[in-house]
Amino acid sequence: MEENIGLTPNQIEFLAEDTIITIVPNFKMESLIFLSGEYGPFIPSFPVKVPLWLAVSLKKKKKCNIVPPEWMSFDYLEQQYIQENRVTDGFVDLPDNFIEISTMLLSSCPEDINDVNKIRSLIEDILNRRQSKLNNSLMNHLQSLKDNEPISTMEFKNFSMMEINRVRSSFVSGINHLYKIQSLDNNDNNSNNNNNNINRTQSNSQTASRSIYSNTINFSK
Amino acid sequence: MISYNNQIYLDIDDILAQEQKIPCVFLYKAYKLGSLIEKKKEIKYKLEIKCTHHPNYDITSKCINCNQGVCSVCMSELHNGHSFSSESLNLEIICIHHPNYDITSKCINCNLGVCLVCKLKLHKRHSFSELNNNMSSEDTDIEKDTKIKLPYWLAYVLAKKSLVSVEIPNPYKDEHSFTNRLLADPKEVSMIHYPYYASSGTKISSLFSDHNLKLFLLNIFKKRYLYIYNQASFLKDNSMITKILGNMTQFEKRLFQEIHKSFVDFENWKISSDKIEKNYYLYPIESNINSAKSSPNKRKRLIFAN
Repeated sequence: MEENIGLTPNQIEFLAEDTIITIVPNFKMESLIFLSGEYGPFIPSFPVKVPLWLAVSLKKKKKCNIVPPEWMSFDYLEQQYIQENRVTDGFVDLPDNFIEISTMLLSSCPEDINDVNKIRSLIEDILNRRQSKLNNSLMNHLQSLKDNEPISTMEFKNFSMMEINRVRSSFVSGINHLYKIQSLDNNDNNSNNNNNNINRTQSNSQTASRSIYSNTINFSK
Repeated sequence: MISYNNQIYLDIDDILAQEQKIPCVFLYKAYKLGSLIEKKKEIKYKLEIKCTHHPNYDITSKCINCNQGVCSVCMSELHNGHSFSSESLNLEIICIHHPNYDITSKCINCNLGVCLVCKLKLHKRHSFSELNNNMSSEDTDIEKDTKIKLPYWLAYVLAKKSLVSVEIPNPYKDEHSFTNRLLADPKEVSMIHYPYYASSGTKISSLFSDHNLKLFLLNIFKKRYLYIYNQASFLKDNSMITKILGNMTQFEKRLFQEIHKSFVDFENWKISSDKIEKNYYLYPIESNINSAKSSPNKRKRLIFAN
């Protein structure tokens, strides 16, 4: 059993902190130069775009106000939630890393966001809904396979990196195990031929794919 | 074998699963393979040892938990709830007179079990007979047509050379009670006696070229996998978890723990980031050290000079 596949949630949060959001500073400073780029001169009451990690640490020092991103409004999220409930065989297109960004913003600057509590509960609802959709579709897919059919490709679209990471081990190990049971060539005194072709790609983007012989589980945007 | 980043990891499941015993019948006489035969532990004669706690009663069996001989009164009073075995009565019973020594032989004159020290001190010049309970290490021949149970890795090789004829072992047989229970409800059957049921099952099905067995295994493990997946994502109660884990094969245990861990990690992350960290910037040095010690998983943030 492979160990330590995937990332911890903290690492994914770290990766998500590179996204750019707008803040409104209340201090004056010349532009800051980092390895990742130059973030413009800070003039009081003029919005400026900075990465999320910078915004959160400035906020903690009470030097700015964060402007929540466009998708973080109650109306937009509610629309997506309704859409999520309607569509049963796919997932709704939500912004990259929305889980990480939303948890960080909700914890560091709740006063800047309208309808904070509603948004909090709505995001939880969306997450639960997606997870249960995933569970149901996995169950239906596995149970609907007739006896002789091999377990074939499964594709999930619009799944965020945090959610992929959560289910990665269960899907990959479990389905690999089932595949080993059903595969034809089981004379296992040399069993390396069965498992040599496992490709694993760590995803910095929204895709995670793993191919086991001809099986593939694709998560794509 | 799993190849991962160009290193090869042995799949332990594969190796341990090959210990599954398969009944074989030798087609030819096998010379000097007598060590394969396990001698059954027989009670050769009844030892008459009085129980130390209840001097009127004989020791009739052995308590497995405490590794002591017990009489019938002991069983109900002192060793309530323990499990007993009456078979290997002769093994590992501690001598009453010399508690550091096991009873290893029987004195014929006095009809009592004796340890080494008893032999030298209390029963001088009596005659003894050894209790022969160990596996025979003599290399006798195995006659033709003897039926013994060999582990898979040995049976496979011998069968390929047509030296033995093999038969499907009991837990995989068609009409056996275990398979019937599995067919009825795969989730509730305890795999405690067969911790490598899946892996050894696949090897056995290839040895016997039995496609039905493979399909049977696939169906069962599909259902068990779905059950595990559902339980692992929601369960938080540790006693329930250990109860469920007790019924699973080794692979399923690891699978359950992986799934459980990743869901629990997510929950913990979500909860800890919701907490607003107080006094983060008022006492920059001390509170940072404290928070680093108390939550080793949380990485440190860069602090700008205040």
